[in-house]
Amino acid sequence: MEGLPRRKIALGFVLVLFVGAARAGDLSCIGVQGMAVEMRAQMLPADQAAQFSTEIAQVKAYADQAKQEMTRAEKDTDDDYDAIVKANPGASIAQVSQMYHDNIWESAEADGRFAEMLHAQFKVHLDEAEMIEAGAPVPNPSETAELSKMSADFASSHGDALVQAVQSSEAFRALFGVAVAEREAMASGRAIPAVGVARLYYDTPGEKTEPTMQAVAALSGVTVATEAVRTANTLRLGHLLGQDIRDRTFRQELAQKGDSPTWRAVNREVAEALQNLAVADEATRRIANVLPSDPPPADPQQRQQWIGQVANTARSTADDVTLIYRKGEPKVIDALPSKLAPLSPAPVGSSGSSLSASAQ
Amino acid sequence: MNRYLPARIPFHGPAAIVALVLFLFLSACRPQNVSEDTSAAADSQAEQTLRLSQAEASWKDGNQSVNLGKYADAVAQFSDAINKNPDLAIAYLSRGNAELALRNYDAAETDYNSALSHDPKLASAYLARGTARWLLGDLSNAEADYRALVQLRPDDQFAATRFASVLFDEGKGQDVEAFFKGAYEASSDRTWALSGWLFAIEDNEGAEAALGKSNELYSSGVHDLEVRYMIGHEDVKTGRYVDAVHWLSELESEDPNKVPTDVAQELATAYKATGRPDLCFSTLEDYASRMGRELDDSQRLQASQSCNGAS
Repeated sequence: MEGLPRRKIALGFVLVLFVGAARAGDLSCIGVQGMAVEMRAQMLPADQAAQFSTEIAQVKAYADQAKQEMTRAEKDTDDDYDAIVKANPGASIAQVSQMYHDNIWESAEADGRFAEMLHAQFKVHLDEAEMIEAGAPVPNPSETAELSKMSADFASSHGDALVQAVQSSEAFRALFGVAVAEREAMASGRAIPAVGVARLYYDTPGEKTEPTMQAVAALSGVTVATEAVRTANTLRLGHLLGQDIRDRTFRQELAQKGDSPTWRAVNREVAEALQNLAVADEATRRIANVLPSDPPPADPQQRQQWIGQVANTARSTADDVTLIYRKGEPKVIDALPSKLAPLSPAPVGSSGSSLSASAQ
Repeated sequence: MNRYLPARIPFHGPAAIVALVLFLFLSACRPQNVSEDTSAAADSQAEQTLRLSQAEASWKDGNQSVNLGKYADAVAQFSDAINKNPDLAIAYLSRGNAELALRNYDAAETDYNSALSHDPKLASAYLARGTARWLLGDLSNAEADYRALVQLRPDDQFAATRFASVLFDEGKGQDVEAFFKGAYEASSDRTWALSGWLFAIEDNEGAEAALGKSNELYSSGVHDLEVRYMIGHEDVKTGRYVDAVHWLSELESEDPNKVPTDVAQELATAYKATGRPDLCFSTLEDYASRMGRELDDSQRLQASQSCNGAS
């Protein structure tokens, strides 16, 4: 029974309501994400909540898509399970589940159906990652408090007019995304050193050009995208290893069979998730390696050089990391937050309009 | 006298002319040789840069092939990357992953080993090799890899979960408890370790012991969500339903991403046990939402009957 999700086994008297979930896909990730976004929106004042209607609708659309994918895939596995229940009246849940597992490795058809369900589960996790990104702009209380503190700190050193301009900018939103990603990463032990790009943003008010800001947005974007890739694949791997094939005996049976659809699917899913996690680590390493943590120099000329260098590095790193995810299309990747300004291929330099000049 | 001339060459007669011609020839050649050396070095450097760049491109091609499910292509592309840059540890790891997808386990293991020999701190290689070994039932070596992983990434919850999972598989429940306890005591920011520690106590010593430890922590000022959940969770397990309602109901309004999905199901159980079928029913609806499902008419009827005590 170890192979089944513990929470499903623990359901007790409500198990009957979710018998499908006991041997088919898990949509709790979708449910939790959708609920989290809606709860955050409900905590906002009514006028602010309305601003996020698009994001909330997008989150729901992803949830619906995930449900459809899973419902389609699990229908067949539901039928297999129901047939066992009907053929074995009085059997315990544990016995039925064992028979269900046996059926998977004894019947090529059942095996194929379970493999399909595993693949649907993978797609659900991609949908979940999309939901996380789509719902990210909807602030939650703790993030709002953090944003207020950041704004207050920023205002005290840079002035209100600039603060307003910055807060309304796409780049700020992207940077905030980095801050959120960074906190998330720190909570799970993976430092995302956004300090370099943050310094570029905060420590050089009035000195940044539009291309510089675009470089900041680009690097912030790939940083957030990297976290999305990591999240989706951690969830994917965690679900597969921790639930679907957690049972050692079940794994051994599958491995002995060698060439079953389920075993092939398991190996593919595990390998792809591992590779995507390795790629996310490599992307993080590259982002981490190139940005300085030292403050910009005081000398005006050196300062301009510093800004240009950091911005150029940020831009080239962003393009490099984007290429890791999608070779041949360096400017756009799916995982980039939709709110990001479109990237311009213009070289980063010290000329151009100044953000602070336009703000003041 | 040119100081480059051999001192013993007599500078007169035909020999001197031969020497002079030779010298002029050599002199002419010398700077030319230096130039060629520099040029060759530059060429070599350019070639090296090109090879590294090609290796990088092949690695990126391979990544794309993996995500397209073209694993054999990916193996070839990662091999190309390795041929062009034999020090590219991530390429060995990537090829190992592609081999794993193809169920070429020996080749995958060899590549993971190569990746780690090139970069012994490549955490994702320990994750990959440990997972492949776990998949094939080689638990002791999987444990060693995951142990190395958690040492490299002591704050990584997923790594910790994998490590604990292998220990559980090996029947080392006490080690799991010690691991999570140590991780939490090393840093109280690791609330996932706190959760793992309390669940391990439940597995090893039972619900009463876990409840005792949870209450002890709470009394000592540890009010993290994980402790409050565990108190409510263990209250349900030990039949203290009134207390369970107290602890679990307040968690329902917290960020669902941070609260175990079971909260709603356990709370429904507690509501039912304390004679509040209406709250039991609404909590079951909430539970369905958390599970990403909706109750159809038949399920609503079943839920209602369950909450009202009918079978």
